[in-house]
Amino acid sequence: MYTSFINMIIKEGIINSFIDLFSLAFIQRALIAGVIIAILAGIVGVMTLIRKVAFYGDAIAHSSLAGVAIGLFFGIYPLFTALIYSIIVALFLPAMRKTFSLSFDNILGILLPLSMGLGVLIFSFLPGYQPEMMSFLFGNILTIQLQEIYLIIGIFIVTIIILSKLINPILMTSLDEEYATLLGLNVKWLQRLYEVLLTIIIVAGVKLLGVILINALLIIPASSAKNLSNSMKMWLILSPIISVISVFGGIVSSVLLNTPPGATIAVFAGLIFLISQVISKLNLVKNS
Amino acid sequence: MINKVNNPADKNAIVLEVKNLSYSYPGFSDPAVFDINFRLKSKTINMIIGPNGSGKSTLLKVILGILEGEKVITFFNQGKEISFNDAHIGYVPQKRNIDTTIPITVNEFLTLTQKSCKRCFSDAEAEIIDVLQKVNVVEYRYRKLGDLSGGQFQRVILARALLHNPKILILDEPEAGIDINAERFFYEVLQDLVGKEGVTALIATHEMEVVRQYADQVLCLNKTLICTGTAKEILTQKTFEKLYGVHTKPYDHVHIIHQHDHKGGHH
Repeated sequence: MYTSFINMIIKEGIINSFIDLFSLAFIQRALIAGVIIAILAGIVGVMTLIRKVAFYGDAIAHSSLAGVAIGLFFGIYPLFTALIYSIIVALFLPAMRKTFSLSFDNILGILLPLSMGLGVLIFSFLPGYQPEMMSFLFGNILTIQLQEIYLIIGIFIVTIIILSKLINPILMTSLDEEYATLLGLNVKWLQRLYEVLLTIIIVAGVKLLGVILINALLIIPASSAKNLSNSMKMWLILSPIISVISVFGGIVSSVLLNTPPGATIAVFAGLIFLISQVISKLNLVKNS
Repeated sequence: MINKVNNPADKNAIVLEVKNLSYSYPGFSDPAVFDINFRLKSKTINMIIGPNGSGKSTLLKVILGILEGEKVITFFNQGKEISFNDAHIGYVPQKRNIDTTIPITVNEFLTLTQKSCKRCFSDAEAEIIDVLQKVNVVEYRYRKLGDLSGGQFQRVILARALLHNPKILILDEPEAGIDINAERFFYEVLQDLVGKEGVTALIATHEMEVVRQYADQVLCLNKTLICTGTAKEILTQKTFEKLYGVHTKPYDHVHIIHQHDHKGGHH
């Protein structure tokens, strides 16, 4: 349908073509879901960078593939099983780290390919599900359903309520764990809360970018915003904005260029990061 | 609030008593510190010295409750026993474990602490200005933490500790990574706090010159307390041999530490 979008622009002019494009229900659904996930990923991405656990989201996302496969195998909604599986992995990580006495990085490096391998293995028992696997690996936001949008809106509301109450202690714990302990904060509980929030956002984003690319939306816009920010407040505002621009720009470009949306979003976010690097290196961001 | 009444009777009052403190790290059979007993008098500067790995940081963290060891720690206020929470301990950690690439202003850093702090008295902006004035960095309030010099950064960390309105301040090698002038200025600010605000300080340090100049009581630590006394009593050949091994003179040690610091790339 959208392969001829360039031809359409030539025939009907840019504005009419875009009006037509945005009137398509599947594009509307994709943009609504994409923008909501982008806002959440932008905010939680900042916390992820403060904690210096950029790899963590990747491990959770990759392990969710096993959850997806288990769901499909038993005929359960796959993102539900993915969520349960990933939350279990996220919550058991600290215990596993202790039991095996390995570094955080090390345990993630084991868990990531293990869960992903498990996922692909289960998929191999499900003939005919190969195209489905591709869309879980790399995302396909254009196939998102209305019910899934309701789910994403629900996740958005819950996350925003939690963050509005607890963003300060979560940031404090991320910034300086030892001092947060001294202040009397329940550091362990706040960490688990952050991990569960992150997991929920990742699973919600699997349709958007797939398990392989979803971490891009957590890390890249937050990194771009970091380059451009002079304060924490600015960082927390800019990161979701850049994330939304990346998703919006990525989806529209993917339709224009007839490219896979997930990959296009990741590349779009990467280009914004390069621009932010240039701006920060040229010292265009004034030091206050 | 801080008791500013200069009652000569409480000049020598005990604010902290540590009895039988021991700690072993999980998985290690040998204790990191053991059988430690000492008292801190009100409005004094107390310094812990000892070689690397002697357990200085561990001791401080057990007192702070960051590490859970065996201990009997009693806090006092004007002769009366008070709880840990009422003791209002401020802490200046050893290494800069805050990532300075994070875009956060001094003001935001302190506001974040205030909002997460159940023991802080108020969350008023005035309090932030007050603590920044006490450590002489108020003009950098809207600067990014990462843009501060080592000395300014360290004073911001001290300001953060002051948000608790502390009676006791615990500092772990506060001079690490700052130059000699910044160090002197830091200790002058600290001495001021002890004099004017009635704070008692417990400091782990490697700088013997600082010990000589500012310490009221010196605690020599090598897993356990080897000696306690005034700077004059402690900074002798005999105690140094005991603490750091033979052939180290008090001021040789200063020299060695300085060389090490320069080579070690602390700046």
